[in-house]
Amino acid sequence: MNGPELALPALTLSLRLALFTALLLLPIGILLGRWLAVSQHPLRAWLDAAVMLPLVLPPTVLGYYLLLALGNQTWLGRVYESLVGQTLAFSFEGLLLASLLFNLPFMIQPIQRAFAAIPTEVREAARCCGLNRWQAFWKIEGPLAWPGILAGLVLSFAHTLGEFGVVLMVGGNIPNETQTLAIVIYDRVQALDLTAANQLSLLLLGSSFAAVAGLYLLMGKQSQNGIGLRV
Amino acid sequence: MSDLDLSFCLQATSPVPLDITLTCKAGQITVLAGASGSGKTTLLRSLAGLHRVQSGLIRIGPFNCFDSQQKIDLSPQQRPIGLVFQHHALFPHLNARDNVKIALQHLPRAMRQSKALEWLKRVRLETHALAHPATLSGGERQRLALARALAREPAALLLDEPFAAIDKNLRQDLYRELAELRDQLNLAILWVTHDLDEAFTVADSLALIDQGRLLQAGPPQQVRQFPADLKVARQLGQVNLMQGELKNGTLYWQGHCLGTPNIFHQNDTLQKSNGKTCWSIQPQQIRLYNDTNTAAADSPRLAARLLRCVRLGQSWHLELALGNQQLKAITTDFWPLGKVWIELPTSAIQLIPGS
Repeated sequence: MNGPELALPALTLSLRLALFTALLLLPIGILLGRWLAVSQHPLRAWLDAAVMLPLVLPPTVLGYYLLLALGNQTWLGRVYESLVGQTLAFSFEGLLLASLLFNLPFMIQPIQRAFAAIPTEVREAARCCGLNRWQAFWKIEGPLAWPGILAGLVLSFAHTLGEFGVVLMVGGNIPNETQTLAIVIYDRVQALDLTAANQLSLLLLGSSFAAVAGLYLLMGKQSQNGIGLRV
Repeated sequence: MSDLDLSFCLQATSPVPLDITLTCKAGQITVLAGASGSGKTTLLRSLAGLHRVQSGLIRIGPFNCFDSQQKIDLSPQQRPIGLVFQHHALFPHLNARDNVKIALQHLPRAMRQSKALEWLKRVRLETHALAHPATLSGGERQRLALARALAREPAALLLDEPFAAIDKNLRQDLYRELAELRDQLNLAILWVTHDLDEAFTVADSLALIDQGRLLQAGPPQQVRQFPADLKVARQLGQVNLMQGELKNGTLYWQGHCLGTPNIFHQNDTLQKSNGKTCWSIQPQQIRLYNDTNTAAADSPRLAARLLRCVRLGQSWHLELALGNQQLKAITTDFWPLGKVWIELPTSAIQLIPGS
């Protein structure tokens, strides 16, 4: 088998996983990111730490715990199995759930920073201008935090494309179901098929670079308009 | 109280203790002056509904914005109050026109654009309608913030150190523009500042605040001439605050008679009380002599010792000792250190009644 032949189903799966992860995380990221940015709640610091955890934890550790949680030994796994008829572990849905958890900091961090960068006076000015909370969000806070929201989307998308450890632990290596591009590359290297590994690695490198470069180009444009973008 | 006076009586404990009652008349600029941390900004935020107070009443004419007894607490967007923030708090992603337009939610959508341009014209920013705040100068940003606060047509306008970051010449223009708006719109304006020069320049009525409490309120000249107590005198920047003794309206200090202070001439009803009191004299009012000749003087000359004489700009700043008291004086001439005679003109002596 050569690179391109292997690439298509794996790339489709990787893109599907990345897209679902980014889109499903978006509302969670906005709600949680904004709350973490403005709240004075005593639980805030704990939640902040919990959100950061996937950044410092080895993917294998997170993957192992997820594997346990999604298997049929837990209530979650049993409920899912009784409803859908298959186990959550080693399925695309299980992979997606793991990916959502693992990408939380990549979505939330830029959004949280963008909301935190909005001066309190600006939020208050919106209320003094007669805007209710929703109007203030849509007309003032949202547009000001938009670059951060976009950064969260791009980062979580790009990071999911390249994720390896958690995917291997939770999804295994099932073609068309859980075999992402990163797993195929690992497979090809194990099989000493370096030509395919080279081609696929180049594809992943190119797409990841394009995503991040696009983001930084946009950041430059935004900062020229006086709106800060922080990632 | 006229229809649109802003009156309030507020009590709070944090972030600074607040216990203050004041009325700001419609069509007047009331200046609230006090040092940093005295509770000025907390008071403004409480009036605008951005800070929760424990108890009290905020009323604009007959309309209650906050009444702790009747459990009325309107949100900032419901209060007919405009607030100009210290750092403008303009919306950076919107141009000048849209910054004003956003405060016109109470109007039908079709009217907002023309009304926003009308407000920009009123603050002389019509040519900058499409400019973003980042491209405007300090004065223009301030005028834009003012237009945005006024666009909701509030009954009262609160200004939080509005011109702190603007140079002096431009500030004078902005004072005049604001005074014009005050007259045109019959607004009750509450202006917070720590700058006493600014306070005396713009105030129709002056209120001094310290640690969340009102020290004295009244016409600015009256506050300056007759500070209610020692705290007010200190806040007004008075130096040479001395402890003397009144005997039947005559002031004695360090065993010398300083005459009958002006306050008793200007106010016949004031009780010529006896006992200890504070008085002060401006450094420029102290006269220095080489000798003790009192023939032409209206007050006795007192022997003093000159401890320091430093030139600052065009004048000499002197430190004098008289008994165990020290006085500061400012003269146009140099004086050698050592023995001098000083005269404290009775007309320049300011009695601080409440001390």
